[in-house]
Amino acid sequence: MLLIEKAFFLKKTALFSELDLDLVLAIADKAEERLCSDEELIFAINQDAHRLYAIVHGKVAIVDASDTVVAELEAQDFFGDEALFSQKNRGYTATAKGEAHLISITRTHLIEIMLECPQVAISLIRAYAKVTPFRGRNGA
Amino acid sequence: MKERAERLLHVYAGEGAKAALFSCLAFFLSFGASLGLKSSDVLFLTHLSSDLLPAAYGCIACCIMVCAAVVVHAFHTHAIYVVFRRIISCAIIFYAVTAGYLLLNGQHPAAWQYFVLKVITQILFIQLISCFWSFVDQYYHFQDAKRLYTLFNSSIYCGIACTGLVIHTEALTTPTLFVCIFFLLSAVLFLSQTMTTRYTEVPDDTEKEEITATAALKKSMMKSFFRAFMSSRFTLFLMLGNLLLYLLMTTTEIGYLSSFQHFFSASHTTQSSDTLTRFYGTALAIVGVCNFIMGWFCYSRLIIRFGVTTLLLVTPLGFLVTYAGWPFDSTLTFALIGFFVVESLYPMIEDNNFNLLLNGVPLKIKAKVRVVIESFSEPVGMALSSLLLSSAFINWKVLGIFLALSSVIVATCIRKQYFGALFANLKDHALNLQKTAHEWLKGLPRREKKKTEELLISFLNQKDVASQKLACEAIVEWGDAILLRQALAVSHELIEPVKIHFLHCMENSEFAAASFVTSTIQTWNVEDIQVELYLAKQGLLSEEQRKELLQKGTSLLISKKEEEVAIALQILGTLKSTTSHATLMQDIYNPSLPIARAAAEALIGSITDTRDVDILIAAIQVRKDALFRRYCLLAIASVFEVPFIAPLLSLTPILHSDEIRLIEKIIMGFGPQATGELTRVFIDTHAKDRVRIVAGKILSRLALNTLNQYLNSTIEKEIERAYFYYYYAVTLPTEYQGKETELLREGLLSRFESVIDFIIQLLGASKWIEDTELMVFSLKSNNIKIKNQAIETLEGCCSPAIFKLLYPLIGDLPMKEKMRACVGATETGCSFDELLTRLRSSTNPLDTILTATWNLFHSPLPQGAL
Repeated sequence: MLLIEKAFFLKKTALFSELDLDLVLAIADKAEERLCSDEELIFAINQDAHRLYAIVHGKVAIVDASDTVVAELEAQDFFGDEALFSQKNRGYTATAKGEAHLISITRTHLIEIMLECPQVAISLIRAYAKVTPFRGRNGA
Repeated sequence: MKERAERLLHVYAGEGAKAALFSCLAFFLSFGASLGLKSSDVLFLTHLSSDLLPAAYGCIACCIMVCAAVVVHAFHTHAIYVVFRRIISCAIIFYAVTAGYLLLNGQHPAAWQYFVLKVITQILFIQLISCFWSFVDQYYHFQDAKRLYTLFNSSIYCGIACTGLVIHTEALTTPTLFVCIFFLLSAVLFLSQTMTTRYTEVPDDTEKEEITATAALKKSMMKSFFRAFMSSRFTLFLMLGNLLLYLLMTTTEIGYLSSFQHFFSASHTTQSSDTLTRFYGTALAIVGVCNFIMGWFCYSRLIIRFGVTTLLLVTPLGFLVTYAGWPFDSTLTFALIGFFVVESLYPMIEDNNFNLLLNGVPLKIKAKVRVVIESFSEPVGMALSSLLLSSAFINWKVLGIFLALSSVIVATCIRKQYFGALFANLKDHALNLQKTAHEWLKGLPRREKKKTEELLISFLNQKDVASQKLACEAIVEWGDAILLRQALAVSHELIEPVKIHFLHCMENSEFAAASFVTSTIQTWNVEDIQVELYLAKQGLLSEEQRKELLQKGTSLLISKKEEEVAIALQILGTLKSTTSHATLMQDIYNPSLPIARAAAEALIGSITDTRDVDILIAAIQVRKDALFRRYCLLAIASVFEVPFIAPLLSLTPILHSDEIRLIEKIIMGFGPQATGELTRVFIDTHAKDRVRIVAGKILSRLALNTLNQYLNSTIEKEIERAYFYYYYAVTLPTEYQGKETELLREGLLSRFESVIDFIIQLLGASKWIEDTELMVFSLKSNNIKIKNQAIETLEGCCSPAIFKLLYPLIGDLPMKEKMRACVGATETGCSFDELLTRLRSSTNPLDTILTATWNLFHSPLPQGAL
């Protein structure tokens, strides 16, 4: 992918849609591509987490500890962010369904982006809030 | 006792066990691997002829390069510890099979088998040691490496010394030796596994997650590795330096051995062989003791005192001194110096230096570069030196002088590039948020540029409005006339909102008034008033059209739609109507953001009265919108005078980095006349840190000498302040835990951090670092390896005395060490009341705020609470 393609793709994701061209280009410059074949393991549960992934095209299956597919993500979705913030190991396994093209960003860069551009943090909170009807306390 | 030993070995409290385990690992590994290597040497020389050595070295050189390629490839797809353990496992299997074979075949294998044994043991030795260092690198960061790697290196040499002892005593038979190697390497495998489970690696997300890469990805990884390798000038110099030193080492080794031989055969006619052996043995023993002392107690102190950039010159200069005198000396003096350089300086200084210098290599390829350099230098050095020395036309002393001179030159180049390479690493890793889209696109490689151009035009032809708008931005930012013409050619097909967006992008472009742009825009079938406004801004409207537009603008002023009022203000500003200035100044404070923004934009270039500057500065403080602030600052720039420097700088604590850069640009535009006012602000301790930083940064560019006059004293004062905040933030009494104490602690810590930022910004500004923000950011990075590279880079920016004071504050030292540093650097005996009094009487307003916050919650604590 060319730098500009990466930038245009990032701009289309919910996470970076509100950023200026200058900033998405800076992020695109550090984003790494990964081409996965069918059934290829992207990361496994309990593995150390260093990166957030966004799907350029293709599908990714998210499998929990009991080997149940909990979600099937499509283009422009992002995943792998949860463990980056909880500082824990991966909580699920991600596997490519068919050929998948991914872009990844390191934890350090993600935090750097969030410090510089709070809009990204807000987009992330928005994404979490969308799927969290009640933020459980004390593990509830 | 334990504490004394730790201090002697330069090991911090709590890290002794880990360092001891790694030292054991290094010892067993080198003992096992070198026992295999030396045993195979003995077998080779006993059962084959030394004439076959060149063939063996040639074979080793070829095989080791293949092996290096395999290991580099393995690093792409597997974690370093996995590769290390696999190589150990291979070695264990090999030595087990060899031991079994020797036991079963009565120690009489075929001649070729000794040849193969020699080749494989040599390859295993190099790969095991090289991967060991890559493995260790996972557990220690740069600053730790400076103190501890020398211990591990000494352990490696202890292992090699033990090998010599075992072989010298001839106490073990060959098969037993191989059984011993099997057990030693098994112990290494066990230790490495223990370490992997017991200790966590230094987190480093520059590495990829462990993946099963596809063939295509593997290929692209190898490609990117070679690209990164070849594009790093520092890496290439490091490789060249390593090769030269290896050549020098081989040449000198041959030189001093032949000098010893000549000397003893000439001066001791009888029993010369015994005397030479005794002399050589004594010299080796003395050097061994020196190496032990140097490795365990001295190197870490020397490196901290002088830095790697000084120590890296030691070995090449040692060789130069040797060869400068050797051709004219008939005694053993220079032969002995050469012996000392090869046997002591090279292993104890150069090897350790190499481990540290590798940090200048791009982080992502560091482990691979180590394998490539170590695998390349030794065999190529061996082959080259044997080739050169066997030539009848080359005198080895002349060759030595040439190599030593070259080595000094290369070391000087490495020294020159080292901090730049570290900084490039930081830059390479950090997000480049300061770069504009224009700079990004202009900096693309030629082929990518062409493809990007095609892609942008194709985006314009798509139906996706978001992509079309983004493509417009990119094309305008690019600033390429040909591309812009292509875009304008298809612009008729764009929908109206995209065309208006295109206009907004074009307004600040260098081609805004170009005829090919304006003529195309005039042919657009768009009714929007913004097209007229654009043309008016470019001065392309006739007097009649201007009147018409002014009328429209005036009528829009009373519109209820704020967007229309905003356009009206822009029209008034553009057409510079007589009544417009007052209206615009009034609307600066309009509650509607679009209107205030439009008013500020319209004021750019139209301010003539300096009194308006105060109004604009006040408006910037009130409204947080980035665009509004930018327009106000640009408006101020047109009437800027020296007295405005201080008020403008006082805005910096509330502004974003790009807004601060604009202020810097405005003040810079004023030239040397601003120096006096900037100096006054810089040394004013009542001013906020941010204000002083910006003043210092501008001063460094306008009058570096003036800044340097005040720099050292300012930094020393600030370091003392940082120690003060840090010490009391850490030692606040636990018995008074509560919200207010916590607030005070956080306040002190935040003051500490801002003082550190202040110091770093000043150091960066006064030296060669073009991006001090990057330094500050890297020092706060949660990637410890990056943070420690930043610390090393900082070392290059300040005097050793300042760095020594600063390091305990910024380095990852145990608390005990930090507290020890605090005791010497600041007043530590303050009671709680005295602390509050000192803060209250501080010239810095933030200190006063801290105490006020405390008083708000709490009455003062009794005397002696701390």
